[in-house]
Amino acid sequence: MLAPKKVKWRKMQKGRRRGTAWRGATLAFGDFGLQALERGWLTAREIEAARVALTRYIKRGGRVWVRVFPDKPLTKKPAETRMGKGKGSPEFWVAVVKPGRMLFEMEGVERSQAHAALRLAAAKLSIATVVRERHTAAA
Amino acid sequence: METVEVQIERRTGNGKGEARKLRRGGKVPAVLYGPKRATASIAVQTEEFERKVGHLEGSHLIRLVHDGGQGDAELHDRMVLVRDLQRHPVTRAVLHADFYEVDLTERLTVSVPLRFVGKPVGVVEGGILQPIQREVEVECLPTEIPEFIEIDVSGLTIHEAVHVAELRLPEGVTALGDPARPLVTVLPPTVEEKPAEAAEAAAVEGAPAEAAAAAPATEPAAPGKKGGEG
Repeated sequence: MLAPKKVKWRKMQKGRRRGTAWRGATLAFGDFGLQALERGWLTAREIEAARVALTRYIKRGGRVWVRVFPDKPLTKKPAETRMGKGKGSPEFWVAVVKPGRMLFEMEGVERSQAHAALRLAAAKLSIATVVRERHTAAA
Repeated sequence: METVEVQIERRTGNGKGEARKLRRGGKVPAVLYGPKRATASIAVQTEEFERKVGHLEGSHLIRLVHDGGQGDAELHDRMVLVRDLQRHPVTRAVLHADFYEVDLTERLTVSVPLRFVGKPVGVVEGGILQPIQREVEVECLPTEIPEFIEIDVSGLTIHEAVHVAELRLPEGVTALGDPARPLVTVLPPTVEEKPAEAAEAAAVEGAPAEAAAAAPATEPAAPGKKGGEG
């Protein structure tokens, strides 16, 4: 699963996910992409599940780009623990996603195959998404 | 290439408040500028702009008409190119357009989209056609801007590329940039990783070295040192 190799600080504050993704919101590499319509946190597990779904569907032929990286640690307190005594321990890595963010891109596959693969990948994610394509994408 | 005609009107007021009012009223704020003219704030009808210009790719010559031809001479009958187009990342609605007035007798630099024609030999063998550039910069007269440039990729085998120097350009159009720059190539096929095999390989390999490498990455997945406290 995706995770940073090294971080300066182990724990991070929650933050807010306001606004839209003005950067990373266009197709930069491939002809087809999966774009976020909602804001949220995508865990490394979700991203990996979606990536595996994409690559398994297209088998060989075709190339996939993952445009998000889970670089935010989320902490969790253990079960049956009283409140207080400090922040919990890091449990997950998540990617902060705002509406408009391009999550995955792919190329080298036919249109119908790309749509089907991206729909499968979308089912693994916890936010609503839409499939985008270039004007000139191969039919 | 066909010239598109778009109606414009002069825009008063600036800033995001005025721009948002315009957009609510079905118009797109735009700006008109060029090397030989003063900058002017204008607006165009969103519906007309989307219908005539929104779907175009590359650089198209557009004729701006002010108030149905009765407008002031400074804005009426101007030949322009769309220099920049801002769209909303989610709705894809046009937010703002930059029109660049061109001199029809002077050569200029524009980006022209590339179209890849044919199925490469390398793709039949299992490779992937990988465009490195989707547009190429060319120099030509505004009236001679090609809609697109076709590249026949049917002869490409794996690891072969088409370069700028190999482009077939219409007369009067010259490509800019390094002639040796690759535009499109065919990559070798990607091999799907098999989880079971990968796990086996990991088990066979030196475990301490792998654990050392993975330790910082997997830290959040494991309970922290202070997890049990309280």
